[in-house]
Amino acid sequence: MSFQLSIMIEALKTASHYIGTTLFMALTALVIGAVVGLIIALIRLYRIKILAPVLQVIVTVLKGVPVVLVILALYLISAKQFDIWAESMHWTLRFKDFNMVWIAIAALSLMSAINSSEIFRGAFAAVKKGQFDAAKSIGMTNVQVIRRVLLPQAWPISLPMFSNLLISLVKASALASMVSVVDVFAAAKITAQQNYRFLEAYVAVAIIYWLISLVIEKGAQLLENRMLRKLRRAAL
Amino acid sequence: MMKVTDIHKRFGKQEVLKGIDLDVAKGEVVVLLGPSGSGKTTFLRCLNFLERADQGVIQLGETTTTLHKASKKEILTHQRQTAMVFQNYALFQNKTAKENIMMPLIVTKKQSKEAALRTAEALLDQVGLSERQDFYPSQLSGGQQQRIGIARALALNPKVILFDEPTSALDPELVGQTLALLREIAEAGATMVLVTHEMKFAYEVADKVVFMENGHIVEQGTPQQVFEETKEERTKAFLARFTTQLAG
Repeated sequence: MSFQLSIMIEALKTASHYIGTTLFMALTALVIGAVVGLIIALIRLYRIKILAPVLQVIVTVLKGVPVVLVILALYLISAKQFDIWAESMHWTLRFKDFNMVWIAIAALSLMSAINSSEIFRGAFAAVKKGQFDAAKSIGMTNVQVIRRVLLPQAWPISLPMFSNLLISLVKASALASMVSVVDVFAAAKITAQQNYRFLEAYVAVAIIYWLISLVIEKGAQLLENRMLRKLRRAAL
Repeated sequence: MMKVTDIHKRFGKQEVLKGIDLDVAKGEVVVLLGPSGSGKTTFLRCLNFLERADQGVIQLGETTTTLHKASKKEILTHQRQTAMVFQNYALFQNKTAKENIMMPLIVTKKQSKEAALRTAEALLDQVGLSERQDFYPSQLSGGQQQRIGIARALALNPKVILFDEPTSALDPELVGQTLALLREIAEAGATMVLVTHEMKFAYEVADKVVFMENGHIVEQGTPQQVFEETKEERTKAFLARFTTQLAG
């Protein structure tokens, strides 16, 4: 079987229509994950009773679970249980009305939240203790310390790691095809199933993911360069 | 102005402060001396709630605060009436010199930006750093950073300013400049509590010198009493190097 460039380009064209779906899943998961991850990291930083140790265990457990299992588990649980819950709550929404994209986003958000919380935890640790002392010594409340001192200093430190996380999420979103979401990967696979040209389709998919990653990385670099001066300040 | 009674603080099993009492009158400059590990810095941090003391009472102006029972609100009120200058300056790294001084005014005193800016400019002028107002801490020398730190403390217009070894991290030349600034502030009537190893400064500027060791106050009095008419052997030994200079 020879490699046919024209078929690969055809697959590339078809698959590229679904870049939007792939990016939508990855970006939504990034945003949800960053917000949840920030809350987790803050709870752990301020050692809030009960919640902090519980979250620590949850983070440790979930860090070790493959995303594909999370997607499948969420799918199975909601397929079996959602209608029962919905009925008992007198909702009219049913499982079949769901867009499966949201199952994928939920699973990716979980992965993203766990990773973000660790990114923030590292960035918080890089903020010197004296900064907190100084803030408290002038009578700032915890919220003021977080908003005016902690986050502005932690954000530039965490930026490169968030760009990596987004790339991971884009690639992990290919797993959404497991629950019948049509994204870049699934679209290419569908074309291949029609003409049995799997190699061409997979190469096309690889090129698309690679290009998306490249754009994300360059984008993050631009942002980083803009913040470089600030970054240096925060690191000192 | 400030009366501190029976402060105790332990870290784990080690008792670092074993009942410290101190009276600071308005406009008075109190210098805490003592060997490393004697609890001077911990004492200072307790006075500003950077450490929570296990026991003790602070009377500041009209308000009395029980250290180990203070509510969040009491702590904030207390912190807004005191200010601290740190050994490592602890300027906000993400803010310029000017913004560092404006921060307490805007955030905790709820002043308008314009009012805060005017105060900050006046203070920058006072510490001689007007032309550096837009520099970030990492672009300033240690001595300049400490002067900004002092200006930030002054901005709060606090009842008491606490200084934790303000010159220990500076090179000898900058120490002179910074001490000169401290002397100016003292002469302008600020109430100050300083932890320092600058004996000459303590001797010349302090109204009261307190010698601490092992979590206790060993001896206190005017600089003349402590340096020249020393009562305790331990104080004599600690001050020996300086007092021989004085005599010679």
